Amino acid sequence: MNGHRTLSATGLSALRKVVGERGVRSDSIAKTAYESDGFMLQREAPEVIVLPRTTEEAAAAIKILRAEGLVVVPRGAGTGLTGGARPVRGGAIVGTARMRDILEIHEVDRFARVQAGVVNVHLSGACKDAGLFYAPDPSSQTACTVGGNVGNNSGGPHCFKYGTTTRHVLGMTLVDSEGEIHHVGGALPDPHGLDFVGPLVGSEGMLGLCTEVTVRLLPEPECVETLLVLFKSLNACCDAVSEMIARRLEPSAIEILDRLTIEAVEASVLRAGYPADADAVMLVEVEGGEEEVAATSSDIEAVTKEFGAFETRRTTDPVERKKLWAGRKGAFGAMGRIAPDLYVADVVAPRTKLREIVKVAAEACAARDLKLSNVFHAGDGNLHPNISYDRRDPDEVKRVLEAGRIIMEACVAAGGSLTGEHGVGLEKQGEMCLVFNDDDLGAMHDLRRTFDPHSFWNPGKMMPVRGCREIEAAPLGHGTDAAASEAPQR
Amino acid sequence: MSASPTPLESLGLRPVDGPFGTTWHPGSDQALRDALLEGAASGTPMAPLGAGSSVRGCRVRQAAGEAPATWVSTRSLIPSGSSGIIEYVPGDGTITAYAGTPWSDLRAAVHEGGHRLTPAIHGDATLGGVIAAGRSGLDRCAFGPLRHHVLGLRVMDGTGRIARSGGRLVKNVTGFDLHRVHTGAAGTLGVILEASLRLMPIPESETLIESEPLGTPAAAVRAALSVRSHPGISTRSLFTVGSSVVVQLAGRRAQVETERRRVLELLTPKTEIAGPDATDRCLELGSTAPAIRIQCRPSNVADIVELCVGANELHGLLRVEPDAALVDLAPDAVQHLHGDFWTQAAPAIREAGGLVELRMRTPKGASAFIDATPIPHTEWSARLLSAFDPGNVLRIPR
Repeated sequence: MNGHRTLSATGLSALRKVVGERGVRSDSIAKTAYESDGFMLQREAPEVIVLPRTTEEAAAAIKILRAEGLVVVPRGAGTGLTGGARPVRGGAIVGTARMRDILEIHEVDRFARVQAGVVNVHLSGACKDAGLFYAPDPSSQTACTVGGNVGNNSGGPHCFKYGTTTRHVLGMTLVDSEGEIHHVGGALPDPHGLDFVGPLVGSEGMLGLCTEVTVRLLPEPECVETLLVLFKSLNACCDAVSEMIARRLEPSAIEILDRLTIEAVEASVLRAGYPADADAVMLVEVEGGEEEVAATSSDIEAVTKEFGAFETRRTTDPVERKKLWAGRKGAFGAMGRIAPDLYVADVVAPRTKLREIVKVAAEACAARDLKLSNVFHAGDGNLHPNISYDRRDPDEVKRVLEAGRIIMEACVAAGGSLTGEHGVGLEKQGEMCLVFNDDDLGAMHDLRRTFDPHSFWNPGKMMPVRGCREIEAAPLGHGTDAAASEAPQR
Repeated sequence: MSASPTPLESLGLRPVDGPFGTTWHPGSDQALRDALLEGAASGTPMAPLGAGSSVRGCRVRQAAGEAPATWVSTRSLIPSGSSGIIEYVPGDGTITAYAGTPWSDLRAAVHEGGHRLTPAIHGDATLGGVIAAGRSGLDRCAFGPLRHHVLGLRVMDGTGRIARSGGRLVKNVTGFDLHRVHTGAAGTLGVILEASLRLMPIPESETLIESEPLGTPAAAVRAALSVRSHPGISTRSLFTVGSSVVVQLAGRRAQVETERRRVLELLTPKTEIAGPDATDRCLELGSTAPAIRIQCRPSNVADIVELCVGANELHGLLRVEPDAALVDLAPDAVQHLHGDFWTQAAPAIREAGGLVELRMRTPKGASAFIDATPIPHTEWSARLLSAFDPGNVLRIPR
């Protein structure tokens, strides 16, 4: 059996019986829509798309797909940026687009139980009246789903203070490759025993299908202040962040946007009032009690002045704050003004080495005549060097991938890592050997087999199939021939 | 004529007698690997041991009829001349150290750089031991449980394979988070060799308020819940001891003072301590290792406490963290439990959604509740153990 298996008419009919006519798509238009996620460089259409409404429907559908010999790629909104939510070769996509119910919000116990397809921003909206919020806030939060965030252990600007998704997931419901339903974790804040929730978060859909999630909610802070700090130099801006971390200042978010990003944002409908004469903008948010916010904001203002900030705007007004953040959250969309396509790198460096990696990225792109813009979750050391390109130009695509690889290698050499919040997927599969050796990956394979002994879930992703010793430097996406080597077993 | 060396001695491990019997000290990763393989081959169970503080805390139990485990220390794996700390970068707020490094040494080192470790614990525990035991601290209501602060691990499993996961970065999603499974696994999936932790800044100001007794433990829990739900109070630690509430506040000086005033509107203080001594006093009041731990929810923790107390004289022997919804019964409490605790109160606690975990040798009448302790997903657990310890050598005696 391999990913090329086709769905029989009997199987198609059985799926329709389980999830309804609208829950099964196998027409060419739907297949085209699902042939990639946000990583547009590679595409592969699924054999069928199944959209269950409940955990029980999902479990029944999985049993049918397994019997049909099809592998399954779980998918949320498809906003991922590494190719993780599209097939390597055939198979089915099981999406959570019709699983959008918020099942429970518990004000005293501070948790919510939601279906996996709930859109991230809708969850915080739903618990606002209870004075609570859900902390992970990826830039795609108006589209991405809680289940997708679980799959990628997603982050966002405010993860500097609150941590990525893994620190907010208390439990989940998981469908395994036999179509069995498992309830993992629960609402208990600090359960004992083996922690299965931990490895399931960030597992990129390779250990099962997450259909419901129980997440921790946090009390809304008493006061929030946003600071827009302007610099004439991107390097000085990076150094100011390193110094803020060294002085143990604790804002909830520290973001940096460079000049090209500022220009793109200001030229777009998301215009946030970022001044055109700044080479870099630092966007900082401070949350907590009123006195704490005032003291921390003043300290941040002082540090940034020491490093050459020429202007600081501070606001606690919710409307103004929202406008400042709209520019940051819409930065990736605004890049569409520069070129038709955008390669969003996602790498992590030690927070003392931000400037070093920015320099490497700039040189790698300049040497290849590529347009680079930078947006960072600077407080976490999570950089997003963004390269604008046109995918219709094969030579430019090649240069983009070369630059991306150089940036990854530089981060790893500096003590950093391949991905801070987007995951490995297909894009960085070959580069896993920059970070891990064969024994490390062997242990990860063992973990995978614990949950998925049949290689049924999202085969061909994240893990290099050949040993690291065998993988030589190769263009991105060509480090493995994963689907063929990782054929599922029945 | 001297006695012939034991198999472990011949592999280069050094025997040291201590409070737990003989502990074997490997001098290198290779010696540890050889010992584990020898244990698997000969059917001798082995258990990694840090300082043994969890053993003293009755976390690790010896079941009747089971072969005693051979304790293998991780402290001897710290290279000669090393402090045990591999890397501490104050500018990054992270530390990486060998597993056998004493927690107190780590605490002293990061204090120099303006940081603190979580959990804030005293005593002679080791880094690896704290992680293997999954010891979250009283500050979990501010920072979350320990597993959120373990950034990466290097672990030797039962086959002698050394594997890393995670790393030294505060944000990193590369690969599966295997370190999350090892945290709290009590060494059953592997011997932790090295760990990286996230650090917390030392606060500018901190203070501790211990309230006057509120009559009953349940009344204290309800008062603590009112502190928790106050929108203008953000506690560093919040728990009850007997019928008193203990609140620790930390952060910017002006904020701590404001929140202190708000707390005093809710509680009558018996004692107040400001400055770094606040943490020490907090640990003195709240760090007793429990004999029985009940997990529940903040919304039913007061009811569970009432069920626990019932007709039992437990007033000074209950410690409750309302935010984490943990009800701890001190070892002395077990002696005060009436026989009907296990036949009536405990089933009612279970009925109310509480989970009872025993952390010491089985009290009389409690055997039924060993099974009630949740061991989730046994099929997954079995597969994990089979993958990481196929020789069944890493058996913590229970």
